[in-house]
Amino acid sequence: MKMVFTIDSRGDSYGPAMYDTQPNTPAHREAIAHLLRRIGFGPRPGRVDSMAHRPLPELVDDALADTEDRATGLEWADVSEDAEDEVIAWWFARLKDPRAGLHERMVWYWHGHFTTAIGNVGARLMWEQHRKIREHALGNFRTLTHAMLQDGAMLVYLDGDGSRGEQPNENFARELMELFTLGIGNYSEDDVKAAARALSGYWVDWETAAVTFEPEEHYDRPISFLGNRSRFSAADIADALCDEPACGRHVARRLHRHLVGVDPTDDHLDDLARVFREADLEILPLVDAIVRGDSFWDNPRCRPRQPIEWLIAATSALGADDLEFDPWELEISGQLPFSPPNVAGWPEDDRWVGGSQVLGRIGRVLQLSWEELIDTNIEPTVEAVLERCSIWGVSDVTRAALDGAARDQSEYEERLELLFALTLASPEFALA
Amino acid sequence: MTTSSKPTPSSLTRRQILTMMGIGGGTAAAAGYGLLSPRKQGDLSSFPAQGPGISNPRVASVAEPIIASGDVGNRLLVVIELRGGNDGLATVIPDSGRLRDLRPNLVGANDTQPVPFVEGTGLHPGLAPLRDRGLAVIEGIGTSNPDGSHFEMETRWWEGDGSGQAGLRTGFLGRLCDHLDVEAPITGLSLGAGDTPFLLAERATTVGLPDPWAGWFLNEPDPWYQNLRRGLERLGDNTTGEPARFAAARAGIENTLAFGEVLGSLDDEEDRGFPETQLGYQLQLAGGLLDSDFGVRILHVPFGGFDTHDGQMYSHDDLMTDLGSSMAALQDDLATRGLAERTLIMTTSEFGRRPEENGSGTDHGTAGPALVCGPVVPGVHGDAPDLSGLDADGNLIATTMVEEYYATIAEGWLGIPAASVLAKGAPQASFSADLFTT
Repeated sequence: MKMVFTIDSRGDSYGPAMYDTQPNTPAHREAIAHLLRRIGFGPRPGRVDSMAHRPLPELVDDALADTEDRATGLEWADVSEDAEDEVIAWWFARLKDPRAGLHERMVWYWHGHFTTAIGNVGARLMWEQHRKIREHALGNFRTLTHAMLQDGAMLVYLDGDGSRGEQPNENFARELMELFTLGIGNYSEDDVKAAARALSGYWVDWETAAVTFEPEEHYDRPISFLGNRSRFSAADIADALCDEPACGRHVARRLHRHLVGVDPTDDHLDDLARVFREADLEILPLVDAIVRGDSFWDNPRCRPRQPIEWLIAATSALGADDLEFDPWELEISGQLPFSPPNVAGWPEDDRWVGGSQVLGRIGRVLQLSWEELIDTNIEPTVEAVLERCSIWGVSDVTRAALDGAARDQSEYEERLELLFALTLASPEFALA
Repeated sequence: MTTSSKPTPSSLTRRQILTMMGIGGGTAAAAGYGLLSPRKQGDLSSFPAQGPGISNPRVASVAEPIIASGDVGNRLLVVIELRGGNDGLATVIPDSGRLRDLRPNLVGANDTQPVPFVEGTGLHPGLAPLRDRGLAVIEGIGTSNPDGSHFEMETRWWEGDGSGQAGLRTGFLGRLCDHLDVEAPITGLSLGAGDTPFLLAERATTVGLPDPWAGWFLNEPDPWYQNLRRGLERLGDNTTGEPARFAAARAGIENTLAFGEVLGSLDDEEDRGFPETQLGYQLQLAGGLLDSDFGVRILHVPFGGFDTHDGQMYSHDDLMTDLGSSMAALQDDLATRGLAERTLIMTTSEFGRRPEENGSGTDHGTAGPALVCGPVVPGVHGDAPDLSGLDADGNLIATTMVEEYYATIAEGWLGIPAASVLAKGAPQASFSADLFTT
């Protein structure tokens, strides 16, 4: 069988259909790794091998059925002055938990969709929002939207907190439509102004994270919103937005881009939006349709690994699983959980494979201790190192670079280290 | 147990020094209170929801790059961001009994006496080297609706949107880069804080190095590092027509090697008269980078520590001394390199501090002065805020809008129409005719 991911020199799209690979073949292992890279934060060394005897459809079924949230310790307790770091560290530990699967992936996704930054809202409010996102990550989008409209962190982050009906702040209304639900072009400036009025009247208590509604500060006269004239509450706005056909399309496009790395074709987007709509905006059927869709399997390595994904995968390949949480390290990597760069969330584009990323990543790898890796007695061969990094399909260019390095460096340890450094710097490892 | 035989970097001493200064190694201290502060608005280029083509619906559109003609076409800009909110009243100091009343502990409490600048106004003595080289001060920069949050005000300064209402999604410096050069390997570069929203561009290449020495491994002479470098060169081979993401990833590796080349070509061991501080080191690198042929037009350097709620009488003196001597050294260095006439050095800070002290420091305020060095008309430009006419919170009322300051830089220095880089309807009065000598 032809190896998948072999990239021919004409630049044609690659691969035979990954979905039909034969168990225990390299192509099959690559297909499993592809699945795990996208729906989890791994894979860890050895994980793919342990699954390689099973046919891919079964493994996909299992991955999509693994919807459990394994997080514990979600109760807010008295935390120290470093509450923000503690909250970030808690989540980082969940993300790098080897068992992290689809649920954690979707928590990560929604954090970037319904964006809020801890630096603006503090640990207490951020934590409450995170609990809601964990609860609804694979639930219903309408329910999630309702929860976010009443969420203290969101209200503070986008200036909904304290917005008065007579002179409402438009920030939340605008981002809600532009980024979270409809997308640009599917609402008017008048809709923004109307929604801002309907969302007024909420106050957030930073100490307790309580959100209170003050009716006298709410704009309670009729407004015209998306073609309907009526009195609107915040909940009415959430429902009206979720009822719009554009909403399903917008969410499906964003989630497809997150999981696949590119936008869906128009036809595929139509299908995804229809599935989402017919499921009454249940999230799991949409995820299911994306993961089982042709685009997921026909576009391998189209998705730049985000810095935190790269870090978790790289350190586990090196056996440095006990990596200490260091907010500074994550911050200079460009991705500190709970601190997205802006309201649009984490970028899903080429910047994660750009020069400053590569520079920082190699420097980071070279600073790690290699002792645990060397203790594993891995053969200092290109094949062994690629397998340790869960790569079974490799481009000609990368293969040539690794073969060259193996020739250049003869001693065991130095060769092993060089092969790892280059493999972790390669496009194959940077892309999912 | 086997130990790694990976060679030790040859310039360990330098590395240790850098680590001590907080910029080398992996555990460098944050320069300021938070390096990549979140922002509420930003680049949407990752979600081309309306098909291909990145457009920013809220900004004056970036048409074709405007290549400034004549002698403004090769001008350079260095932006030093004073992070945390610099106390303007302890930087450019009015000779005012009112100020002494508001600050019994801070004014005249130690040996730090202002040096004369212009009639009725002195400078922190740490800035004397700048005065002696021709310093322009732009007074009272702020906004008509100030906010007390670092994050909020940083975002507004980064975006070039003093009101915070325009919803811009790129940075002011990034938009300048979009107009200056979208072809160069790197048009905008930040040294020391990683990627900064200040440099978020639509089309130009702008990068942030978390650490000026981030490319150390590319310039190690040991054979292992030479082999690493050779391997990266092979990995960066982008000539075989691979799919787009692979090509982008290989271009990233290629750019990494280019960073290494530039950083390696900078002789940072040579004594060029910079103070031995983090800022001095960063500005020494800045001078070398501007003198390289890498295409860098805008260089951003963050300088933290200005959030002086406590112990201001000690910390602010050190900051001013460092700033004054480092900036002066950069001016001298640029003159040596023949770049003085085409380089402008300017400061920003998210806000000034409250005129009334809190006992040992000052709390978040509003307007503040900016320092501008290079081919400028020395003296004070604009009006100092009125100390006897504070706002309801006891803060200074801005006399110059952030956008006016930026418009002056864009139009007067770089030849870019303000309307191309600032939000529609923003205040865009430029006083460049009075500020620049060339």
